Amino acid sequence: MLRTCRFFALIATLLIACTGLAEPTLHFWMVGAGLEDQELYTRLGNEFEKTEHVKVSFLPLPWGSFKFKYLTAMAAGLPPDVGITNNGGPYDYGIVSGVVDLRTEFPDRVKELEDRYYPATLPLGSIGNHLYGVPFDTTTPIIFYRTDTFQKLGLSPPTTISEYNHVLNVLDANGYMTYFEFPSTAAWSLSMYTMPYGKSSVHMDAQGKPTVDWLDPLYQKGVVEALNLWWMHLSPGQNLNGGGGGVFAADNIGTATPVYVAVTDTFTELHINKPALDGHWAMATWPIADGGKPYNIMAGTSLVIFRDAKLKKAAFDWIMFLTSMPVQHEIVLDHLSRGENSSCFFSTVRQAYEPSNDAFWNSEPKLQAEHDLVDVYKKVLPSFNTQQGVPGSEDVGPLEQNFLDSVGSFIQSRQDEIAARHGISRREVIEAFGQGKYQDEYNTLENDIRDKVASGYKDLAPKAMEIFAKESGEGAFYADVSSHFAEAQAAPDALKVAKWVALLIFVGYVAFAVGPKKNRANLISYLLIAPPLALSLIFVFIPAAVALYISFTKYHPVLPLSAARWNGIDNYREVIGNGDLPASLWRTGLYAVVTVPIGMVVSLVFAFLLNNRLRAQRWWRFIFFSPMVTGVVSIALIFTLLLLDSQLGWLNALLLDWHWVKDPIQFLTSEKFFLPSVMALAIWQGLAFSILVFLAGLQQVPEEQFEAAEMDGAGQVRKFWNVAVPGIRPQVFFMLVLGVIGSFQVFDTIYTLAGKSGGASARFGPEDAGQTVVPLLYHYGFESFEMGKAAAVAYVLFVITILITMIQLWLHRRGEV
Amino acid sequence: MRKEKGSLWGTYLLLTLGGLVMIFPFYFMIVTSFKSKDEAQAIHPSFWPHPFTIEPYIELVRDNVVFRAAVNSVIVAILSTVGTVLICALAGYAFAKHRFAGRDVFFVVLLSTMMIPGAVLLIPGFLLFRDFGWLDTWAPLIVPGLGGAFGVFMSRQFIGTIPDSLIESAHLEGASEWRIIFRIVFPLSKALLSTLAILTFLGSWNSFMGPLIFLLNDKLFTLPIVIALLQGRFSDRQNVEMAGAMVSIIPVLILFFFFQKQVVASLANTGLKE
Repeated sequence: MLRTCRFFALIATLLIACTGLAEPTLHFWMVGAGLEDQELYTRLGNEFEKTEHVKVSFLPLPWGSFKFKYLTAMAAGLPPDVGITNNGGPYDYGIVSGVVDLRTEFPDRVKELEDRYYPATLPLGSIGNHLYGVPFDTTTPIIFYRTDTFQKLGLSPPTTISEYNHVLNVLDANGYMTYFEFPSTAAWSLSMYTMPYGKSSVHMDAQGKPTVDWLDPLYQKGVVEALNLWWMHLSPGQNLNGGGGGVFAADNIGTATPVYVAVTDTFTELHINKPALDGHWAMATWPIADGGKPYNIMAGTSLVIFRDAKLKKAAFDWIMFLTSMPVQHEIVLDHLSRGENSSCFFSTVRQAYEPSNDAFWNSEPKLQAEHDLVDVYKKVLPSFNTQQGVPGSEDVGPLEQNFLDSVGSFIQSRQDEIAARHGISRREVIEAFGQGKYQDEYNTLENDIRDKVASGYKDLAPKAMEIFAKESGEGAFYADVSSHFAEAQAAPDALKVAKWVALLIFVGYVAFAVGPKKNRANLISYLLIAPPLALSLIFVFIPAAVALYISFTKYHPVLPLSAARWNGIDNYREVIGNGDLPASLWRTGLYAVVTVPIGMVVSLVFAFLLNNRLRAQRWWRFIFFSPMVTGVVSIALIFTLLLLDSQLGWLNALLLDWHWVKDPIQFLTSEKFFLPSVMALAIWQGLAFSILVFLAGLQQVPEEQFEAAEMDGAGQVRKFWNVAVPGIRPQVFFMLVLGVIGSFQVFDTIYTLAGKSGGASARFGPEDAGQTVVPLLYHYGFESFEMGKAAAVAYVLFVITILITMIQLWLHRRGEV
Repeated sequence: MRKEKGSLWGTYLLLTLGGLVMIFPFYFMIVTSFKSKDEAQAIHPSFWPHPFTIEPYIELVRDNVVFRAAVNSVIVAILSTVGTVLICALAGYAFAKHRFAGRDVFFVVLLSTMMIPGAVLLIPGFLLFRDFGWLDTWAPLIVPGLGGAFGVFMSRQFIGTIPDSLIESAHLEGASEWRIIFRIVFPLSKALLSTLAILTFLGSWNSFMGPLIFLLNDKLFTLPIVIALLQGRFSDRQNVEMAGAMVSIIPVLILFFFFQKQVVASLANTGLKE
């Protein structure tokens, strides 16, 4: 009886499993999704499944690495079916034909989707006539301000940029601060200031050719205004890690930040988390540029369907589902019901702002409270002004961002100079400026900023145009390859050739082992050494050879390898010529020269100290050895928080409290301090292993030597120099080689300290301060996806590693003689 | 270990200062992981949580990703370790104790792979794994390392010190090769095997770039990736980030404290064998 029951249970389970298998799964990835979004979209997926009989599997992607994930997935041929990405996504993925053109893929259904949007918003997801994606949600910058503080100071909310500057000057004069939540290093942040003048950093000109507005005086005016607002006013820091609400609510001078520029989400956050403030704050929309147009939308997300998606039709159904009004209502309501983490969700779907939807906005007190925001979007969406992507913007963007970063550093160092001259802090200088003091110095600085901007762009503009010229054929090339994708995949390429070579070598090895009689007797030996040899062949030699090949080609991994175009030594020339490789080598060298000697000296000292018989020996050793087992990434994460650039960071808090510095040090956000911070972390972490090796070595030094020194009256120091150090020469050499080679490979620390998986900033440290050789390789290979250049950098690294190792071996041998 | 006649106050002072610097980041991590969201974001950081809450850990459990990643890391590390130790030790034995044509040539060929920095192999590795269909699986994290030249090198050095006579007499008694390996060589190589195992385990546990590039699906992520990703998923919740770091660090630290002697001895071996 029991047996038959079990048998039927098994059959039943199998059947159920089969239906699970039979039902296809739609893979859906979403950027910026938190825990609550996960729950929401899983629920929506279940609803979708009921009617469409397709399961929906959901994957959240963080803002820092989503682009890398999408592009890598496309290159791997393993993308999701449908994804939510940033507004630039349809361009970035469409240009390499990684996503489908909705108009050609779904010709009879696309009109229904298009009708859901204002005509002005659709170009956001298009390249020319190809619709690669549709916008999903949007956000706009809002100025949140404290009405009570404004009243006290006699201020009214600004409507133009110059009014805004005036407000900030008054705040400065009284010691109040402003917080600008968006990374000033991001391109879209800059567009807030230039688009109102109708000028855009990178765009197509009337003839359809990419160009930059950098030399346009109106564009530069916008840039100077941006720089002023970012750097010439009191601010609590560049990245408060979510602490904006806290400073906004504060009232004491030194912390009070009555102006807080943030996304519309903050509106709800303040009501829920700081109810005591209700009635004491209000919102203002982003000011209009003097003589310019209002520009209100800044960022948002878009929906795309991938070329390699298995369930394209279901993906389209999912998009239609998500952009339908009932689901939109559900999403809005869900966002408002998340307790402490509630936020506003604003869509780009036009019906949300039409009279037919007013009933929804009035249906609940929570929704009614958003009335002002809804009005903003009603006003702005129909005439939304967008800047489109352009081939080459990948490389041109960083040019400008690095330049603007350097101008920011310049402004700060000039402020420091003025501060030093008057014996005050940088903060006090800005307060003084606000009060109208030091007029001459102020005017000089302003003029210098304008000059610097003008001359900087004058240098950069030709470089940008060069890049555009080089990239001009790219779009057409990608489109061409994609249209013959299957053929391209089947065509012969370097990897296929390499595999044949490997096969030949393998056959040769077998013949060698089995052929001659002498060898056959030793068959077992050949068997034992075969695995490492085979693995080395397949995973080291073959890839190394293929890498060499790729370094002479131009190749984007979204395409099959056969589409790699022979490029001669151009990759090497470019990578050296554009300064990236020399700069990264310089940084790597600096890094090695600082971390290795300091690390060794410090660890020698401590190994010597630990070599004594101590009380609680076990604990002392544990303390010094523990960083060794704890993993680089976790440690780096801790340090990103320790080294925050405002009072929020522990280190800065201590330094300020003890009055060792007047202003917080920008460890990770200033080009001067980033690499030193990385080095400090590397030394801190490397101590554990070095101390260990040296200690083991010291324990081998005979007691008698130390005792003899003691008898001669040597103190600790003398013992250290004369006995300990010479006694561990072999260990010192070992650590030296290891240290130098290791410092050339550094990546994990820099990646984490640069916050690459955190915010939307795309560089390895401010102005690429952390871009040593391996990060540069990663950047070329997996950020701009120029695999040829990445391989070129890799080979230069290879040659240098060999040279250095040989030099060190030679020196060691000489030393032994 | 030396017995010191004079006072060691200078030593203790330096050690204390050094110790404080070493401990400081850990102290920060522990304290922050028990703070509430508001306190963690306070403009002036507090050095002890007021109130003391385990809410960040609850969020972490809800999120589930860190714990799953820890399990993944353990699985990958164990598979790597077992496979690598076996393959390297066997090959090292053959290189050390067998005589066959081309032995030294093959050994040098193997050693030369140590010269090639891993970064060079990243790009073509990606293409190779794509070709094999290994992307988004654990294979790229485990398989290439199995025949690590360093492991073979160390094995050969160590096994080379086992007296030939032992092996020859076993041969004369008619023992098969496998018997020799598993009954004689391995038992005598405990130090080597454990050193290799610890090094491989730690290497796999902390490996970051490989998993970052070759894994796409978050169900397969290992711990370092997830820890780094905490920055993005909890960008305004420092306390949860630090709770995650705690989860990844504390278990390893506790294990380390109890097995200090063995781990330290193993790791020291690598620096001494010349």
